[in-house]
Amino acid sequence: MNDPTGDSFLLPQRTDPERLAKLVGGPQRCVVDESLSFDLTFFDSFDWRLHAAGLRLMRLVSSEGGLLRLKREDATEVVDPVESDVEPAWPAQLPGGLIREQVAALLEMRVLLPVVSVHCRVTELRVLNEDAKTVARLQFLAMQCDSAATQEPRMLWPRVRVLPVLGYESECQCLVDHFAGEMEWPYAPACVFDESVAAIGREPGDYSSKLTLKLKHQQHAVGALRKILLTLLGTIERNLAGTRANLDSEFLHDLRVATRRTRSALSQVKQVLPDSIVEDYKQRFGWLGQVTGPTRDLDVFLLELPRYRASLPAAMAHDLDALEAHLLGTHKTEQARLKRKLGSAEMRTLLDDWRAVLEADPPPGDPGLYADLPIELVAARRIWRMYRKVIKAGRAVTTDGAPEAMHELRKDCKKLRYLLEFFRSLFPDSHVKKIVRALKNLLDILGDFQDLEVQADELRGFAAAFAPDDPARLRTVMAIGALVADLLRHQQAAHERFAGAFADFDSAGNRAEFKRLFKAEESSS
Amino acid sequence: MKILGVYNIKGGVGKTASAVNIGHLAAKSGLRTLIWDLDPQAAATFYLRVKPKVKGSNKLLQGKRDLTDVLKGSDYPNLDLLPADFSYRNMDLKLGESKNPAVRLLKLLRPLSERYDVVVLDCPPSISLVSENIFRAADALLLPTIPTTLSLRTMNQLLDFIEGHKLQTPVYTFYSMVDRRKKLHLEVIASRGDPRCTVLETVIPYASEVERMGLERRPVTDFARSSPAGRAYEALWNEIRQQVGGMKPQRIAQYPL
Repeated sequence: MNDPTGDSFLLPQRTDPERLAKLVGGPQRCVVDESLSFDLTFFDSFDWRLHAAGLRLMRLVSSEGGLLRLKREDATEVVDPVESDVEPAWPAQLPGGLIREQVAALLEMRVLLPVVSVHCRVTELRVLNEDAKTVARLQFLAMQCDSAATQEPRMLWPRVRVLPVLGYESECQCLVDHFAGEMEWPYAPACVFDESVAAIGREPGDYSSKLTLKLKHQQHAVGALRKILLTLLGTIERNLAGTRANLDSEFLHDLRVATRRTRSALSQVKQVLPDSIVEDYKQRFGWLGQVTGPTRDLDVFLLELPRYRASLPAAMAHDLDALEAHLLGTHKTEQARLKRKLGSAEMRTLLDDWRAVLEADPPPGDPGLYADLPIELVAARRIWRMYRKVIKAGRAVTTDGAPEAMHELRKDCKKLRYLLEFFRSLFPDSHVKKIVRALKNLLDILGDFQDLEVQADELRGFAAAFAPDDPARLRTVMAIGALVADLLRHQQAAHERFAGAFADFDSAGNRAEFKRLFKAEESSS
Repeated sequence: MKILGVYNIKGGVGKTASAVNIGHLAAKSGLRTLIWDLDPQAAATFYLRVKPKVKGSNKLLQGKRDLTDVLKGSDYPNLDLLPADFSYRNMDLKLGESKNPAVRLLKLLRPLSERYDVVVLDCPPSISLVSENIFRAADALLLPTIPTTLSLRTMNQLLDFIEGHKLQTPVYTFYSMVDRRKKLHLEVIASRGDPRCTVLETVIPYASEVERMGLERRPVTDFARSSPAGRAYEALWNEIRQQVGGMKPQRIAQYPL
């Protein structure tokens, strides 16, 4: 019986099954049996959500069909494999069962993309005793993966797996000892994932929408800012193809966040880059924010649609079908427009020019007043000022509660959050984490307050587009009405939660933390 | 786990050859398969190149020893053997000593259900307490029958026994060691079978390849898979699989990654 937990060894390059049989003791001792070929493709989201959770999703395709497997890092199976005749893409469309549940929970709105494909050929060998009885099995594994970068297949290290035969375990152990001891073959990693990803020149986790910058305290402000902006430019560039192809909505989302962060860095980290550059690129990235807005708004509606349906009585859930059709139609048009804009010369020039500016040494134009100050100082000053602005505005909103003031407060809170994200490596992590958590909570409530209102307004606009004399459309309009009422109820609830969240953010402890982290830095200058 | 008992009251009907070839084909199709050689003559054990003798087989039958301790891997992936032992000749006596002797075998097999998809029992001839155990344990009884009057008589004896003991085990018979030159063989095959059992369509021919199994010590379905006998066993296995149902291979076992 095959024991799936055999010992595996890496073999010298150019070893083949016949050579392996010879090394084991020649034809009297080792017989080369049949071979079997299959392809193994690993899948993950663009931002490696499965990898981050320590999981590997793979589809194995042989002459018998496809098989989907979800494994842990140590190559143990998380759940039973399932047959799968189509390449995985959307988690919800995976074959039913535990694999789908686990993957969908981790991926949310992200699509599965192939990471690397490995072509494998397994040759079975049998090791015999003096009675010509099989006492151990070997599986020789030759693998290659196709690399888009080199256009040539990359060979992986051949491997041999030693499998015990029941009742003859000591013979198997002798072989393992021989391979590890006398032959000095290294043990093979449990999973071929890392080796195959490395073979195509990639690194697991090589993309994340999170900013994980490492800045030096005494680094000149201009160098640090360029590093931040170059990282953000990289994020924009990496999400461009996926946004244009509309692989999933997160490509556009990440592209927009990086654009907003770029604009925020330009306007918030003042007098570091030349003014002419700041003004020029704030405007040009403003254009990028604008052209990507309509599609993102529609993405949000489409992502929210299942929740909208769930909020309605079951009898009304289908009344939103016409709205969905309308959203999909509009999305198609907007996506086509977005694709054109992002493929335009204007876009290409923007990215090329911006990279040239950021990579030029020294940067073109007159240096900003604070260009050569240590970044630690500039960062603390900016964060402290923005924090004070947020506190002042927040206290005013608590007593006043005007929606416009809340919208303004949200903008400032976002700016503060971006500053904290840009510069968090300069301050003690556990402290920054704590204040970011309180800020995030506040931002979520402000976000709900504004977004729910915007959504309600937009939905009213959609409702107006449906002809009221069509009875089927009338049901849609009524369902939208129910939806708007529900959204506004939630918005009201967000408003009521605001005071508590702001009080948490404005707590004595948080105030002391901000002061200690950022004001002290400023006063020491 | 499906338990298939290959049985006949009469000896020399191609029972062990059938058990070994069916077991081999089951394993080859990806099913994790165990052949239990219950016949003290140990022919299945010999065919699969394993030395007979299960140490402490008495303890095994009494449940004092784990079956998994005595399993032996065959030359084929997915195919294991529980080897025969000469002490099995006393199995009736040993079973008789245990509590609830008629279902002893089933109790012994239960712990293997996670490990195997199919268990093929190569049963000793004659009708005894061992046979009753096998009838009660098996999901299906497979009866290789030589198409002769005498063989049909023993088949009726068996069906009477099953009916008399109110057992529900489905019985599938197939003609074995068939010589198409013999008029009697052809007449028996053409006749209507006993309605108490299902007669499978596949006919296993009398063939020298089957006899060569002793020399080769391998299943026909391995060393002469394209021979008439090899093809017949393949067809027989497909028919059994379809008739018995519930035997889905776990494809995963053969892939090393």
